[in-house]
Amino acid sequence: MMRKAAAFMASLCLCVCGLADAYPHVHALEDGQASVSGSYWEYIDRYKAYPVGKESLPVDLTAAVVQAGNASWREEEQAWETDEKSEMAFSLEVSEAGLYQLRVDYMSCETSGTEILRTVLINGEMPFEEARGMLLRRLYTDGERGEDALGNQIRPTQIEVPKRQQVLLRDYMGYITEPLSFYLNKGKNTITLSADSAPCLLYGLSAVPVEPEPSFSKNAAGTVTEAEPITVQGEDATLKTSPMLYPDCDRVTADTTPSSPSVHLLNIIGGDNWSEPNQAILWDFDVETAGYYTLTLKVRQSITRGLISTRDIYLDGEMPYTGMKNWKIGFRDDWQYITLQDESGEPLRFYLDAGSHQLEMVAVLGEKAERIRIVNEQLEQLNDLYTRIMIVTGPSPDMYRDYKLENLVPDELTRIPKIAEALREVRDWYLSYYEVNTQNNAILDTLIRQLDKFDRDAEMIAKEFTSFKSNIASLAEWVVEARKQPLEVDYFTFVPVGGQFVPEKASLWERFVFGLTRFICSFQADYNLVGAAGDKDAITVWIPTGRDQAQVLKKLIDSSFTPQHNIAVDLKLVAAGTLLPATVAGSGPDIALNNGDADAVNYGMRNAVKDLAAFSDFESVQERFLPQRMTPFYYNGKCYALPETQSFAVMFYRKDILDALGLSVPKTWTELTSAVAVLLKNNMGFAMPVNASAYYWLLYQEGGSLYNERGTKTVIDSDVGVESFRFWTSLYKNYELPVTYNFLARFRTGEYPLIIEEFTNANTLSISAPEIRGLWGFAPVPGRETEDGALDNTVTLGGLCSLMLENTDQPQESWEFMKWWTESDTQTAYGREMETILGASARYNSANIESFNSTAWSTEQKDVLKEQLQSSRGIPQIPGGYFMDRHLTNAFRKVIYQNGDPQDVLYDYVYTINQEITGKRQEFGLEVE
Amino acid sequence: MQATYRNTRRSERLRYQWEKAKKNADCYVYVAPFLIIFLVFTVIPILLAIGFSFTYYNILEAPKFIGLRNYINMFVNDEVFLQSLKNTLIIAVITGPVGYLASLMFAWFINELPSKFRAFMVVVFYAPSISGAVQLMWSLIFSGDSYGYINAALMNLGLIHEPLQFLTDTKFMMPVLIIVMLWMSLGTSFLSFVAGFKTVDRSMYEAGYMDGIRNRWQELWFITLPSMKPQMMFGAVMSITSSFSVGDITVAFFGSPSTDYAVHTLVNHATDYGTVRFDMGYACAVTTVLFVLMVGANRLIQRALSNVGK
Repeated sequence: MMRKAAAFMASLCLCVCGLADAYPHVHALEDGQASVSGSYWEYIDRYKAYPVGKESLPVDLTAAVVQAGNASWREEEQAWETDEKSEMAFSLEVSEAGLYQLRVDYMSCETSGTEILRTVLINGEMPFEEARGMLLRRLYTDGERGEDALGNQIRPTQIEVPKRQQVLLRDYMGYITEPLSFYLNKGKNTITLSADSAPCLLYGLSAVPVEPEPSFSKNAAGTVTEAEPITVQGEDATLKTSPMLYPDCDRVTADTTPSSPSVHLLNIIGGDNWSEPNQAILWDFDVETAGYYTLTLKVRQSITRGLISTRDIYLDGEMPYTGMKNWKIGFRDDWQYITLQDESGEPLRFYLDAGSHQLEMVAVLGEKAERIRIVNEQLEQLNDLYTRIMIVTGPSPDMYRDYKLENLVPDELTRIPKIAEALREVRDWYLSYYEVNTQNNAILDTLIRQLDKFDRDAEMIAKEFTSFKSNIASLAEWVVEARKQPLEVDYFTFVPVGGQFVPEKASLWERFVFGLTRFICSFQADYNLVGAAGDKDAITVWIPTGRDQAQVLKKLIDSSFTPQHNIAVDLKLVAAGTLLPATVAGSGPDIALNNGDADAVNYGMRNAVKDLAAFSDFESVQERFLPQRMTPFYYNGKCYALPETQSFAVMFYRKDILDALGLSVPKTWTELTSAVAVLLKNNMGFAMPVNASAYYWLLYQEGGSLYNERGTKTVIDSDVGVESFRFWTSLYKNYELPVTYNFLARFRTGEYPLIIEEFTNANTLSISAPEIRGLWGFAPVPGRETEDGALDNTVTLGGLCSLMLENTDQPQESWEFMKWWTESDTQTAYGREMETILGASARYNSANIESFNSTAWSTEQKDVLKEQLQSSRGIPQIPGGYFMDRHLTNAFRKVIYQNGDPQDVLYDYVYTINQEITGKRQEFGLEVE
Repeated sequence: MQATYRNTRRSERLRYQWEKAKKNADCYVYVAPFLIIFLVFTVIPILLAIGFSFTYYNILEAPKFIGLRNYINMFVNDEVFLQSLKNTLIIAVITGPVGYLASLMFAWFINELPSKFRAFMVVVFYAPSISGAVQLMWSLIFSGDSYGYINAALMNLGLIHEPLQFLTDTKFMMPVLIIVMLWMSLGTSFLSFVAGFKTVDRSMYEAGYMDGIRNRWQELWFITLPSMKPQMMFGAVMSITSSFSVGDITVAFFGSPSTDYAVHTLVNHATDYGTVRFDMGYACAVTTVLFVLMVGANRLIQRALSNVGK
């Protein structure tokens, strides 16, 4: 008996080790604990003994070889135009082996605004992890700064400036504060530049010598300069590297210059949006009198409580003094006036000659970089540890069971004290950096204590497994927070040496008056007013979403629609669900935006919305969308709406867990069921939406349809329909699919490493689950293999649409508006503005194909989305069609909860559905079955 | 002859009333704001709804008169209507009286507490009905997710292996609804009872002791309750209306419509027809039935209350 048990344990161990082998990356982790294999730090350690390069070596562009993707040589510009999948090899003759930095001379091409990312391979190999996806920054500037009727300044649109730039390649995440160094052999080297996303024009690439330490000069003595101080307002920035860095309004205090208690003045720049490392803002300014100046900045860091933000400052692209590197700004509720100083506290003196100059501030991690990087590495380790233990215990282990983890995953357990040690060092460093124990570091303490406990007693792991997971998530949150370097800039002043800096501070009385005025003004402002055109002939447009959406739309109307078509628009922000009562009362709009798909035919059948197909150029407008996206709007040959957005399902998967289990992403339902069997064996599972749409996918994939040709009855009681229904319900009965679950929670814990969901959830995931960043992806939903070997992975397509109400008295003008609104330029501009204001979680999914394709998804994601979109189908709408979803759900529940026979149950409900369809058809005087 | 006589009498009476009204014009001015609002937002809509119930009205087009067809369909063809009528009655019969009595009992108990503690307890008991996020709490408790409170507890104890679908499985839905309804029933009527208990004249009790009241029950039945009849009436009306007009809560918990119409109420049925199926005429017929039911129930309650203290 004992022997048998031992043999069993041994086989289990073997099994687990086998798993580890399938995941070599992790195996490598176990010996070299502190640094991840292939990291930049290891690389530098290996090569630091070699001499650094001495001369600047440009590659010969014309001799480049295009290895993949598309790249074409532009003779007139002497540059390569490289696309988002290009891979180019350049050869370089090096006379002296050593470390070099790489300087890229490039210009961005105006596309979707996707980040330009390039990976470097040296002699065919990626030298270190950080060489992957390095950023070539884009530059943006303000568009026209408009004003509304009340004198409120309107936030200017951010326009990309295609400008030739030369940058040294850096770490994308900002963990390495210097430009990256690459080791080049003596003799011929091949440098490969491979694109991860976005095209760009390449003017040059050169290896430049690494400067051992940036050569900082001593503070200049400086002579007294007779000149006026030069003040530059922050909001007047010339260039910025992200459209998020727009001028903003601060009405909190009278101290901000300029300031107004009543109107919206753009008076600052930066803030929460200027948090990510490598984001830079550049100001151009003119100097009249040459001479020595000192620099004082009026800045505020009131966002991350208790933390320090860091900036690198460049004057005319140079950083002559140490005081300009890792410039630290501590937390304070109010504006701070800071003069740049050297180590001895003397103000730094800059020589400015007469003419144009440029100041640049770049967000950097500074001294924290190293520590945050370490925590980030520990996070990866912890995630991996969690996954490996979860495979044994499941996500919610039995408290009363001893899992004998020390026998099952001994190697994993030895990692625990090392992780705790690394975290402890970081915690101690932070203690000395901030001199006080800020509460921000509580999670480090908690996790260290928990890991110590696990180390002492492995049984505790199972007992505290859930809290362990949430601690890991909090640690990921900590990394996100620690990386944030927010800073607001009001203005900066170059004061001539010998001159005096006079801060523009408001007195107590002025502050009081300001606050009071602001309070009084708050009663006058009409917060619902988005923009009445004040024109009798204006068309009325209703938008029921948010204020941000309405404002962006208003801006687009004012800047593009009204000037182009000379049609005034009254845009109103209304509460959702107002359309029906308003239409009844006869006070509805001309156009209603953001309606559900089903509304179109529902209103259309009752003659409440216009048939758009009647417009002469309808055909050409329709071509902007996928034909299947139009399906729900057609009824009896009439088309009642134009689509705005589109959404469909994809399959989300956890790369780490599938790898650990040796599974690949399933492509067919057969593959899926076998993968689910493996997952179930390992205490995990698979989930998909519990509604009728899942049934529609299966039905469509099997070649079935919902209704007969004339739409007089449903045909889901056909053989195909019944088979699909049987398969759908059998998934739940045989593979323990959950009937109720929370996507985000189950996916991030890894309890369901495979989940089918709407693709828009990717945005949510990327923002709210930082701890699994890079560990997940999405793929097309599983499909069915057709006879000819092709794969049919049809899913249903839905979204929002715009309607034109029947009682409009300006159909032609309204039609012009609808055409303009669904056009690709408008949709793209709208989507981009939304993403600028609300961040990537508000990514817009336009139904306009051109616009959809230009959304800032990564190339890989875009390919999946395009593929899935091609094989999607819209759901036809018929009178009484709402009974389908309702009773399919009922049928599903009857089978699952009450063990009904799928066929009988389906037949019963099909009868009810057909009755309703017949009833509704009679109501409209249509022929019935 | 007789008719003329009666007409004369009538017109005289009207004239007398009119004179009287003119004399008290200021009173009518005071009543006017409420009266106008009441007419416009309550009386007229009810009359309109009754009117629409005899028409085919798809909301977006003009109504067509169709006589009693809606009512005939309702009682003859519409199984879901009968089901929702049954559900509404079950809910009303259980939650109405039980909630009413519970409010009364709790108010009585609380009335016995020392005054500072009493104020605190009133807030504690009244809080559920003012907190908007009631659904959130209960839907966490009854969630069909394996991490829902009840499911997680039962699974931890090893009593079940699969989570129970309290909100979608027809077996559980009605009991769950009744539990939630009862929990929420300590609403305005409870407050009015608390106030009612405090208005009772103390000297009545002394007189009662003289007349031979022997225990607290007799005190409650013969003195306290009869002297707070107005509050009891108010509470009763509130209970009836709230238990007959259950609708939002079922949508929030069980979706719209619920599985197999298991907790479909008349209000749900009317909403379904009015907004999803665009048949406002039928929806109005349903609400008319509901209106008649409520008025009838009110009558019954009034009769029952008149027996209090007898």
